[in-house]
Amino acid sequence: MNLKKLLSIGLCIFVIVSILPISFVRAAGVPVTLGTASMAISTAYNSTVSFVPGTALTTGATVTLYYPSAYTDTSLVLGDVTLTKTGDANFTSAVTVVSTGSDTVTFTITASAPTNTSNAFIITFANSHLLTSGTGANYTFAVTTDNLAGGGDYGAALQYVGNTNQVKVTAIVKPILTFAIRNTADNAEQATVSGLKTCALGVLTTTTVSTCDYRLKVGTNSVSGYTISYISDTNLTNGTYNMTNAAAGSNGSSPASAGTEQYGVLLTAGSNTVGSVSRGTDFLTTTTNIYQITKTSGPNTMISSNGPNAPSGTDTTNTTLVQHRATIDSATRTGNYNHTVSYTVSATF
Amino acid sequence: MHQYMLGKVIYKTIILIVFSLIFFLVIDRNLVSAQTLTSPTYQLIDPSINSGGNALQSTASFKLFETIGDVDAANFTSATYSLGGGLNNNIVMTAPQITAAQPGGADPGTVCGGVGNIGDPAYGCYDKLKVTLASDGNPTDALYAIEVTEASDTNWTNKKYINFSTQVRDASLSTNTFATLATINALTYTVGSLNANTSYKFRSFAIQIANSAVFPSGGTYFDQSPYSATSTVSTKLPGIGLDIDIAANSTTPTSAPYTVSLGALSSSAVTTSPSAQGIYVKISTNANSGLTLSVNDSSNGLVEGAKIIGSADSSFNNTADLSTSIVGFGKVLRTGGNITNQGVGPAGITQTISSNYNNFGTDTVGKLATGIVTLASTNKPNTLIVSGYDLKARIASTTPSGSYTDTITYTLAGSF
Repeated sequence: MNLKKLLSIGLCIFVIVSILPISFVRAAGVPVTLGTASMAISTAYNSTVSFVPGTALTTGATVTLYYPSAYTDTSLVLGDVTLTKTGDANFTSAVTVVSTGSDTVTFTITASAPTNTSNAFIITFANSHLLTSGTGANYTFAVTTDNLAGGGDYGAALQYVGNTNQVKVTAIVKPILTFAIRNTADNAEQATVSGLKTCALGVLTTTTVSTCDYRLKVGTNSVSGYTISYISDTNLTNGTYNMTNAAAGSNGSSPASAGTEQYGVLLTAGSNTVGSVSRGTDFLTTTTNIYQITKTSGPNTMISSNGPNAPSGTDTTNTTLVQHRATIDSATRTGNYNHTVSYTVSATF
Repeated sequence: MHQYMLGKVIYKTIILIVFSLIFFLVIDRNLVSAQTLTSPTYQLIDPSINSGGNALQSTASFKLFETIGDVDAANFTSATYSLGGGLNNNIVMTAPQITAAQPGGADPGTVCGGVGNIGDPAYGCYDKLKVTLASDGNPTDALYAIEVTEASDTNWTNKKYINFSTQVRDASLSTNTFATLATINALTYTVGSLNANTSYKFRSFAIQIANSAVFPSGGTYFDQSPYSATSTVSTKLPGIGLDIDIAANSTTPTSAPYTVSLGALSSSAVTTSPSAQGIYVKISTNANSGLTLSVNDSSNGLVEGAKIIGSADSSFNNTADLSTSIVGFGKVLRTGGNITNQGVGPAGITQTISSNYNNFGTDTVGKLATGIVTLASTNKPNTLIVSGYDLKARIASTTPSGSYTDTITYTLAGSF
């Protein structure tokens, strides 16, 4: 291709390019980040405002920060605010102008080449000369840049002063402790006589073992669980003669046969909704032996749990079954025998 | 005799000359009056008034007015007006009248949303402005160009031309930098991609025909009007706004600290925050692409010490239907569905509530977690969007007693 043609082509290209309309580098929106987004009122802000620019800047270009007019800036001076751009070798320095009258800080940069759009500009406040407003609200920091060629960046971020972006929630969970003496099937309250729950052993004979049952039903949301204790007013007595008690303590007494005098309870501890239950020392070891239930001093711990319990409407699992048991011999005095067992239930919240 | 005849000839000659002079004085268009005509603002120097044909001669595209003064290439000019004679000056367009303003005029929030009230620093457009022209007598098919530069550019050294197709600033003239008055004025905004918080000045000129083959560089069109008067206006600052109110409705303002008291929780029913304690979150921005509202929680639920009522349930699922005896705590929209076109802003704005929280009218709550979760987002700027939320909780019979608390934190980010 000869020089003339080359020149013609070059001229054509030049003409084509010349008549193409040339548009500006457009302005760009950028995310702005505050080093500390939540502040108390009237508190010094010694942190940063940063953004990754979308527009390259050259020497003489400006970065302007607009801080909230409600902030206290009476002591804000030149040395309190700096602009850096770590990681961008083209950024050299910046000349700072603080204008408290317009609530702006303007940085005029010096760059050896156009700054990149990958490393952030970081504006740092120091010396406690910019204080948040004394009125709690959500305040805006805005940033603009001007590349001196009609383009630049813009963005804004909120600073939340005085917890004005927070909602505190409160709620109460009341302590729960309930206790009922229920029938064996836990489908009704235990029968009463004259307002007192009753457990009727019936007529005792030398040839039978007499029993009666009821359930102790405790509900609680105590994380420490509950304790059932008892105390009796007397032995099982006819007024002058006391039935022979089963033993208290670890092993209790083996269940007596009909024809041998013995009175006590067979305790089935049950389970607990959360955690487990344990037997008191007077009823400790076995689930098949008989234990004394006539102590008149106390209270005496019968059952305790280590977690909350929420038995259902009919619940033979998370309840304690108490079976009173009596046998007599031919020497057992006649009469009407009775005693009253009083239960107390406690929980720690 | 000879002298008499000579005198007679001379006399007739003089008469003839005088008569001729008088004749040409009367009919000669080029004769110049010696008297200057003045008004308080204009002056006609040595004007001549002649018949000049019909008072108005026109075609579909041109008008020819009666001439006043000599047909001359010189013009009488001021900064904005010129008075010239001759055909050239009679087909020159009239300088348009120009008004530059924030888009939306008296309420720029209608176009660009914004924070605060009309006139506040971040209320209105931060990157676009609107220019409105009046033709001042030009034909309807006259074409206009608008020049723009920063107000600090005293001599229009860095002026650019508005491209009415792309609505950005071009370095040179083209067919796209000319448009009819109707086209220009119909634009919601005239020019974008401007710098925020910057004062710009505009001027316009009109032409009759845009010669698309030649765009004079530094020169003018033969029918180009003088420049309009300059009009100056500023872009706004970028801004975002967040306000929270704890109230019975969205119109009752309240101040921090904000507290919602659920009271005593129940194992047999869902507890909802009191009707007077709805959480109303009000957001605004002039960001072109709207904003994102996020929420996070201090503890993943209601807590007292080591005790926790998990959100949305004890397994920290994203949602939980508390009506089914599930133990949990969370948040649900109170004001119903996605909210469209709330507040003032461009048409087509929508607010999208996260599906976790958008179960209005149910006991299905969304999770509140220590990790930041998007609660809602918008796609365009607006002056105000409000969404209201309730808190709901339910416990079990075994939920440990105590005074439970939680702190919900809202954050807002604009998409500029």
